[in-house]
Amino acid sequence: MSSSPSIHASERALKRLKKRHARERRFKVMGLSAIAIAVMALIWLLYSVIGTGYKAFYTHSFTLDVEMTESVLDPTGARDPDALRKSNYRRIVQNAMYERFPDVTDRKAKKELFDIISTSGAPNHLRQMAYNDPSIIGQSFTITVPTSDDVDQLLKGNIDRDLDESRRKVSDRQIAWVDQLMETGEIKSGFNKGFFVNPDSRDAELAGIATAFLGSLMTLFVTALMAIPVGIGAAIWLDEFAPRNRFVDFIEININNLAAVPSIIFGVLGLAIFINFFGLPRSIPIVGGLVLGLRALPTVIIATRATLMAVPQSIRDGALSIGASHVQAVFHHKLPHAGPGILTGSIIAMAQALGETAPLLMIGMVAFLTEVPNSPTDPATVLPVQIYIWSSNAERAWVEKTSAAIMILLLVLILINGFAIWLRNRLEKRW
Amino acid sequence: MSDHIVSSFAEDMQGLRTELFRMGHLVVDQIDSSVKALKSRDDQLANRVRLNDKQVDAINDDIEERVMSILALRHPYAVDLRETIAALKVARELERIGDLAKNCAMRVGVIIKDDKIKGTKKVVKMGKQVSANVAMAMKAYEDRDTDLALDVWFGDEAIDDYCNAVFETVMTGMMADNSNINGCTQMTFFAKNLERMGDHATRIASASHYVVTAESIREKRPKSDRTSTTRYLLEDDDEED
Amino acid sequence: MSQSKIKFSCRDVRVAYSGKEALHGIDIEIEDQGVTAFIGPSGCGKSSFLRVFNRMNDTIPGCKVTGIVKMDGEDIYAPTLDPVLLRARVGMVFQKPNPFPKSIYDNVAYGPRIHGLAANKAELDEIVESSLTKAGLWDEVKDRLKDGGTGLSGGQQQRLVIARTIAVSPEVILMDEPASALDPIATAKLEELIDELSKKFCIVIVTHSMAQAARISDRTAFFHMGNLIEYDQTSNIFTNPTDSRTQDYITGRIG
Repeated sequence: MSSSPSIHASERALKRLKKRHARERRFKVMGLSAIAIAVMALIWLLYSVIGTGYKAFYTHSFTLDVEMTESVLDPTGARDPDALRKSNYRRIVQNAMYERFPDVTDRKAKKELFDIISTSGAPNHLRQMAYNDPSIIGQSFTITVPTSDDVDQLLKGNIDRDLDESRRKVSDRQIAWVDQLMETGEIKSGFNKGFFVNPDSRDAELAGIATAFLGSLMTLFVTALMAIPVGIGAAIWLDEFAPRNRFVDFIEININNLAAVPSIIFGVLGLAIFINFFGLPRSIPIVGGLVLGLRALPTVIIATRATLMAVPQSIRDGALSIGASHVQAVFHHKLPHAGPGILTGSIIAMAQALGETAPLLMIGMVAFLTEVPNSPTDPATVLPVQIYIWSSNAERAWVEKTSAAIMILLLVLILINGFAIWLRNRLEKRW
Repeated sequence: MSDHIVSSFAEDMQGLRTELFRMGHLVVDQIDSSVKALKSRDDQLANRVRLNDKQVDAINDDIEERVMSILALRHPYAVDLRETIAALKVARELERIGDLAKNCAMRVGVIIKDDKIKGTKKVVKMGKQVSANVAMAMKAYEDRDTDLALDVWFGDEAIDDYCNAVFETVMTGMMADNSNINGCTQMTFFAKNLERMGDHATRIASASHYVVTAESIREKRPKSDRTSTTRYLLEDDDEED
Repeated sequence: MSQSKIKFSCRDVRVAYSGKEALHGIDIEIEDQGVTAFIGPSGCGKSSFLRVFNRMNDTIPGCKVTGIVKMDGEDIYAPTLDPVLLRARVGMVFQKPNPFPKSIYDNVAYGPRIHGLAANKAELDEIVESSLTKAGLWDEVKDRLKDGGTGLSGGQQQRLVIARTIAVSPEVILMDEPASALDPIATAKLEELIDELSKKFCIVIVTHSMAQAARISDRTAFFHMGNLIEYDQTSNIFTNPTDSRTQDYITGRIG
């Protein structure tokens, strides 16, 4: 080796090297800060959603002794189910409340006292019990019913006790009663099971996501049934069997364009085709599923094509070279090889469909429903639409419900995407 | 012909050629010197020829090594393969010619002891012809000249004729005076050695012809030697040295 | 060397990709016996020409083959001839080993299955075993036939592909640079196998390695810029090629 210093060790070279390293560091810092901003945004979102939403998962209930006074509910003693349905269960609850606080006589105070409990939840609970088993009329027993949403909010600390009475929804008297009931254990906090099993309601303390959740599942089922087979079939045809001409090119371009079309357009399309032309009823998961199926179709086709194109040509060639027909080569070798990728793509398309709102608004899946759907032909709504409906309600209690519904939706999406990733890692083979 | 893409391959081939040409020149010198030693009755020169043969052998060993390394490392094909193999062959022929020249030089010492031995003139003439043939064969090889190679091939006939003439002269001399049989025998061997050098020269010519055409010219070998019986007997003797 | 039967006979074969001609009228006769090697620089059209014999060019969009190619006197580009059937008769081994992502057994059994060559499981087992044996792979894999074919080494994969090919009993095996992805030992095993197979099959091989062509082939065809320059006994091509372009190529000179 020569003893003279290398040109790479000269002063100028070292200076240049220093500059190059500095540039590299700057780039790294920029990249890191970009990621930091993204992570912070995510944390902020999760914090605001979870921070308000977690409160919806517990609620306060009131344990109350009631007497099913026969003279109030069924003066005739006929136990006619229709008549029993119309009976005044509200009075029973009111009587029970007055009995609990016998020294409240003032009319206004009586009303405030009754407002502690869920004013429609408690009577409805009794009505349901009497409907199921009319023999309980005339008996006395204990029921546990939700408190009113205002009391619930007060106990969760969302209502400021130091505000002037006129500026809050709970009066000083009510606060005193609630505190007393809390002390005696008659009002207790607990897991909010109703949030998961109840349909939607006008009363925040009763509203649940059951309708939306089941609606989402049914809609997604129909979507998958439509988009996945049709999408995969179309992708295979385009990739392997389509002739190379302008018409096919035109179709391909349009499929790519379709993926970028605003989703509300698909709602309009669904409204025109499925409801106006075919005359299907509004608000049902079948129509919603079909519309979302159309929406997911381009995504499935594009994802499938991408995986099919990534399958090494050598596999197909290998099959063809021992005398497999074109269809055999594709279905015996290419498709199984692309399987995991297609599955992942389809699952992600389904996750997208799950989060879709706009097209469903167009076909009436935005209805207020107090019934849980039993089949895809029953009116239903879906989670994102439910979130949308709740978010426009004014009362304080709806804020945490909305956040909680968002949490459920996010959880389902994360589970679906996680499943897709797991599937890909599990099944994918490197070539 | 254009050169190899791998220049070190071209250098290897060129090195082989240069070494072979050097050997050719040295061997031609050896023939010339042994003939000159006979002509001028110079025992010292004859001695030098004997010593110089070691140099010829050394070049031969070097060429063998080069050929081996080219075959092992370069995997020559077609004309390169033919040239490499031909170089090995030519070096072998040259080495044999060198041996024969040494053998001639060794006989000079005996021959020059007796002035009465006939045929020296004829042998010297023959020696010049043989040396010219070897030089021509090497030139044909160097220049890839197939015509010249054929000339060498057919020129061997003349050498055979010289050889027969020397035999006749020496025989006649021996029959007339049998006092110097030893010297005469040495003279016939000298001539026979020269004749065999001529044969080796034809093989060199054949090899150079093969490099260019990938064809042997053996089938065109002239058959002018009519004293084949003598020839075989002499060859048998030759095996012993 | 005795003249054997002619397997393929080509007259004025031209191959064009999207109108651009890659082979400019090839006339050649491939003998049934022994190994024929195609050599030539990259892009000379030798691989394109190899794919003429099993009509694999049909699967490339925009590729057009003209001229006459006869296999045992029968025009393989006749409209009545089914390329699927042709490919069962003319197998192919590719540059990169391409076993199916299935078990070793299924790789070999696939061809016989789709062509209905085995009446029952026992027969299929027999075909699989004999094919793997002929491909020199049986002893290495007999205990793990259910393992994936892609888990084998490169050389084993290539021999698995050969077993897969011979399982459908072809008459001809085309090989497109089969050893280019293999190490020297795997290459040597493959060459030994090719030598063995050449006793039963007509083998046509494209190779970039001239040494390989020299080692394994009986006849060599030299292609250059879409033309067949020289076609002769391999020993002649490598000792005394007649065309200067062949000479320049095989001796490593600037052509």
